[in-house]
Amino acid sequence: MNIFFICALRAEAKPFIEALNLKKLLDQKAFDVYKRNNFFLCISGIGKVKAAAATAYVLTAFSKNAGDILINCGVAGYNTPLISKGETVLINKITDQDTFKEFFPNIIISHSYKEHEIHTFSKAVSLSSPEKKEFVDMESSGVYIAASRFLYLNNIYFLKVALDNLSPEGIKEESILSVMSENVNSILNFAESADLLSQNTSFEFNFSQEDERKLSELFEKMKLTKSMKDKVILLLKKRYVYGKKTLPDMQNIIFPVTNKDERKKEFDKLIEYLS
Amino acid sequence: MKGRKSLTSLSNIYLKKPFSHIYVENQAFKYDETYRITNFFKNSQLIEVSDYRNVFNSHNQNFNLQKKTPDLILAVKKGDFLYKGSDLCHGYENMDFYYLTNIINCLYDCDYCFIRGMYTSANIVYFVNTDDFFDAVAHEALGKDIFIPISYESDLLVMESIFRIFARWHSFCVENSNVNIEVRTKSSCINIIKEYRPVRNILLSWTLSPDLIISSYEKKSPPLQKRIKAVNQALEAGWKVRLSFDPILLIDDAEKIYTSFFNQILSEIPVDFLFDLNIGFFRMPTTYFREFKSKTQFSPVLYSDWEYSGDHVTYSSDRKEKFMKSAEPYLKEFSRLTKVLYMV
Repeated sequence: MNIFFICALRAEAKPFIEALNLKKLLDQKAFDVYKRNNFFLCISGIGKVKAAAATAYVLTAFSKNAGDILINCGVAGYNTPLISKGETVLINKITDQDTFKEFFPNIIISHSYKEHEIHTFSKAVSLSSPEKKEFVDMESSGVYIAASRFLYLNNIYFLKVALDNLSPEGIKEESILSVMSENVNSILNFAESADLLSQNTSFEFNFSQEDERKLSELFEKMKLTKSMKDKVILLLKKRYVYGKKTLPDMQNIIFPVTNKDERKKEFDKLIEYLS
Repeated sequence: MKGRKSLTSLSNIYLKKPFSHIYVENQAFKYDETYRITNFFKNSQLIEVSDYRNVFNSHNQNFNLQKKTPDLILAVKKGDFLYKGSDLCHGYENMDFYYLTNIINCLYDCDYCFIRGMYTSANIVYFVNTDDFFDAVAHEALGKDIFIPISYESDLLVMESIFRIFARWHSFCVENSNVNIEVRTKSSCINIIKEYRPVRNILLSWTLSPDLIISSYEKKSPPLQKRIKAVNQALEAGWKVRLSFDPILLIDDAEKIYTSFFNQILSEIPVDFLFDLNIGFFRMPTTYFREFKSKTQFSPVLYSDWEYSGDHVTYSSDRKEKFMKSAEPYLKEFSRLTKVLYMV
């Protein structure tokens, strides 16, 4: 599966880029996107709108499967003795402080992080703000809303490192870089576990690229309608479920068609072969 | 072609424990039942929600994965507590037929379950305002006999040690003899039932299937022999017992599989002591079938010649006829021994 990281800031992203040896994709213009093998990282900028846009952008371009993993990681503000500075927290509930809508990442993975809820604000919150909450950021709800359109909810993770204690001075870039560097290995190990879990619990049929190509050629040769293609795919799935796990060689038994009658004849032949 | 790999022990290492998270509606904290349940699951992470549907109805939930390790949602039922029973379900002696859902979803994982078509989540929802359900039933039952299957969207007996719903219905039925309930189950939890005396207006109903069907398509549920033992113990104790061969799954070799099964039932259960026997082929409302298909891609259950008949989907008439022909001698024998209700 593909693994996507969404970070708001360059300082949050840099430890991952270095640890994974990611290369910047120079043809991606809207957002900075980095990649190596099946790892992708996108720097969204601050705020939930940018975060949502970046998430949708990178998943549209590169995600093939609802089983792909997405991790929104970065620093967050904290105002509770339950969370320590520099601690990585897995988010189990997100409240958008503009709409007060609640979102629930579906945590199915076994993990060793503390869990907590987070509140997403549109602007920076300080200790003097009347609406301050225990754990705050500016991106989570945006990422969730976008990512949940593409991926299974249990494959969307929010790992936030407590750094900002809501002081009015804010936080320095060096501090962000430092705390993310301290936590990058832990987060990458988590990502690996999440990926293994997703790979081993995929409940979707996926044709390999080669099989997709073969099927595409066959359908083109036979000029099948959508419902005919669906019927063929259903029979292929049934064969798989009953233990025939490789795609049968259909090219050699089917002749190219030039009209509807020939198509019907070849289609019936194919259905009989597959049944 | 790549498909689902079976859950390996590797992935089991990475899966959390069932009920590790309990979502609690804010309003549910007004009920003692909520505290009883949360105390039962002392080590679980509690997450407050304003409306349980924000969790339960979310799209893109991995239903099949949640089935492996469900979470619990404690909520307060609002609105209607009783619903008119479906034409696709067996009723009871021409009484007014209703159903209610004190609990949504089940610990068992049956490939053919209609709930796969109804809901996007496999997490268990428990409505803690149980008294409101009883009030609604008492009100509806004024001056008439009514029938309510209480295990409509769940298997209550298998979760009785947690939710104790059967215990409360038993007391209610003793006080309200005009309220007739059916408790349908696959469980072999006969010890739970042994604690209570049989009551005329409680019908215990066991879903029985051939062992091959159970091991392949009724995951996590007890094998046939254990269910047969529970049925016989219930009969000996004097309970009113219904057997349910529903749904009959017309998979490959179904005739042979069910012939052996019918023989086993006739030889191991005193069928003439049963209250009745239900028989029904797989059927599902068309509105649920599409969602059901998307969740059941890896099960042979899905791959049959379906017929869309009115508002529901079932096997083709030819296929059913072929089965009924082969099963005829057994069905005749069952009919000789007890009342048989068909939903075919």
